[in-house]
Amino acid sequence: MKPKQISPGQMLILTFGLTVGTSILVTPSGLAHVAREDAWIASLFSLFINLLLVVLYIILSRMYPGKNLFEINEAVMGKWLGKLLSLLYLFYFLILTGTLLGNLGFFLTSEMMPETPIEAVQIIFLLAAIMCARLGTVILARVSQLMFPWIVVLFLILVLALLPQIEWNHIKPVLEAGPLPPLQAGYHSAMFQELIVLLVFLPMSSGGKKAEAGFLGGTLLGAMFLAIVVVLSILVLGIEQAENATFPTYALAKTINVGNFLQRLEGILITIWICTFFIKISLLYLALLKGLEKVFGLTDTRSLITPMAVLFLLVAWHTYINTVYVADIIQRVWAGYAQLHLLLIPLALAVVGLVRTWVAKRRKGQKALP
Amino acid sequence: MIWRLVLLLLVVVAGAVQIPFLLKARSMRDLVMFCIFLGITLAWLFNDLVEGPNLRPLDWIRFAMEPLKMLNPK
Repeated sequence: MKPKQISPGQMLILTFGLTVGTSILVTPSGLAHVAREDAWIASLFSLFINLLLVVLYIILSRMYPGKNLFEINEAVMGKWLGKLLSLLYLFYFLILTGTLLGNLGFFLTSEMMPETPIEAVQIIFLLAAIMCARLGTVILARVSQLMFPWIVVLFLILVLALLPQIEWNHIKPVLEAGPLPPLQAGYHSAMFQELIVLLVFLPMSSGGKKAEAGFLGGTLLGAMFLAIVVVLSILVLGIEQAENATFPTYALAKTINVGNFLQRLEGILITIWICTFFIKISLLYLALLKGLEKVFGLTDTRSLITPMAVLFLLVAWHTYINTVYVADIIQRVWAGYAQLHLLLIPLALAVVGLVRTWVAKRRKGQKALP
Repeated sequence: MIWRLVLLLLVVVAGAVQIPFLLKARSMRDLVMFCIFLGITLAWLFNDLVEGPNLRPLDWIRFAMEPLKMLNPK
């Protein structure tokens, strides 16, 4: 029986979910802090960087057809070095998942349900992720397909409701400090999309080049959503509030007031965020299980689901200690750490792979000579 | 504290349910990996319950990235 696969359309939606993920909530403040009024230019540059990264991942995938990220590591670097590289990625995914879970709990308990214990919020969310991990990637892809129209419709409602409050003067002056700050901010922001995760699932996708188109399309769509949110944050909130708010998009949603009738629509944003966040966390969870299966040669990783969930919670409780600590790490350390996994290692793998292919072709050519 | 006790209970129950299942399945690798993960989570939970040293994974990353500081995008 043919193993179930993800369709190209589902690949697009999963990529979109991963790109939007948690970024929709926090990206505007980070960009506004560095690029100020040019945060919208930074978000467009971030989109461009993400597309380039996806092209790199597709090149790697084509050099090693049918192999996922962990298999590519071993194919390029050899068995043991490849496994070590895969373990680095698994640790990255683990810490990322825990930190995102901490972010979820912090946001919901600080903005929506202050009297609810943060642990309760995280455990309930993780129960859904555990169910998804047990059911597998194809089920996640189908659930994402069901959620996608709602995400788009709710996002459109959010955008349309904010249009009357736009102040075009908030975006001026344009490029006052030159092009460097928005370019720096855009590059920094691109390191928080973690699209390398989808290299674990790309081989599972049917349709060959259509799947790759889905990967690119999802990145483009997700990054466009983020760019729209950044632009609206600047135009509606202004630079000071956009920069200083912990969750500027939530502050943006709170400003919606149409005819003194349509108000308190921040629930729409929460719904969008929970849906995309669920997709991102589930993809990371499944990627971790796949990685462990490959690295350690396991037959069935379902037994690891529960201890891994507990590990996520422990990581969340020990990473998201407070916002000052996390903000400091994100500002000074995380972008460099992510850059290693998102750009430098895949680039090195591609270069080594190309060199090995070239050397193999030359040897073949020499052997063919009489 | 109570939440860590809840997780401890969950981990113990998971161990009690899964280990016989894995023994029956005769998959040594799966059993070893499961025991390793179980051991890590139990050790960490126990460390938290006795208020041992506060483990901070982000500090480990900060320490590991220190020699590679020049790679940090500005």
